[in-house]
Amino acid sequence: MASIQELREGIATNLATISGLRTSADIPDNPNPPVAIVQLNRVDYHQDFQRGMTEYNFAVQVLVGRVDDRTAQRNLDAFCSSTGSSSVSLAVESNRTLGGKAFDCIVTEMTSYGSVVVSDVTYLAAEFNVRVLAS
Amino acid sequence: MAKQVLTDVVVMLNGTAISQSVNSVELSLTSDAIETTSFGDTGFRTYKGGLKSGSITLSMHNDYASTALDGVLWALWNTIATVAVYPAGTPVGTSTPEYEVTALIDNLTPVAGAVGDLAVQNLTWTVTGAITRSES
Repeated sequence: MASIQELREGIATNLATISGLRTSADIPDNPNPPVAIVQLNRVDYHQDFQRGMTEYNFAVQVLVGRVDDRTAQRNLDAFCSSTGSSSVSLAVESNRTLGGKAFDCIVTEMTSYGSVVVSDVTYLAAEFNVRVLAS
Repeated sequence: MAKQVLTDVVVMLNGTAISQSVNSVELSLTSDAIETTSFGDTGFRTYKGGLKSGSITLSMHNDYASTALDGVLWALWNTIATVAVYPAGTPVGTSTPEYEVTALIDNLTPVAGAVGDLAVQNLTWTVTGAITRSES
């Protein structure tokens, strides 16, 4: 049985395979872009009898700096791609058991793309949903 | 416990606990209604019970790992298997009964689902022979 922290760290470890992308399994007060932040969104318990499976939904928010809008958008596009060395989808699914802590995981969708303000700083950000099945 | 939510149901298939791969179970029991209506029954039909039968339906999350659910089911295909269901968990007692049937494992769906779906097997098997309910 995996803890939520272990699942969160497993996703962050997979994301760290993207060269140049910082990762954080915890929500930072002052993010240093480009950074992927793993947050727990929802937990669906009792997916099987005897607590055989729980479904965890994580949000991965990727922040890139907006010093140059055009460059920021190109960088974020690469993270959103389904292919390529910067693909968040490919990176998260590079080890689908999250180091043996989960049954399986999949990046289901990218749900938002645009500017966000964190600690009075504006970033360009995209958010991904990650579905994790674990005991 | 009185009325309860099903969370700790135990399902045993030929002695193998598969509960943690099962997310739904339905044991359906029926008996034939044999008509006994005769003249003089004042216009209403009458019946008595005939032969009993049943079926068991399991919805399962598939697991292809060695010795896991998919392999267990595959080995039982086209055989008669014992299915025991403990709706309130174990041990068996007066408020935690056990239902036991033997069923013909006459259908499997080892692969079912679209891209991105969870691998599942939703199966209904015909009960063959007696259906028992025990409290001890």
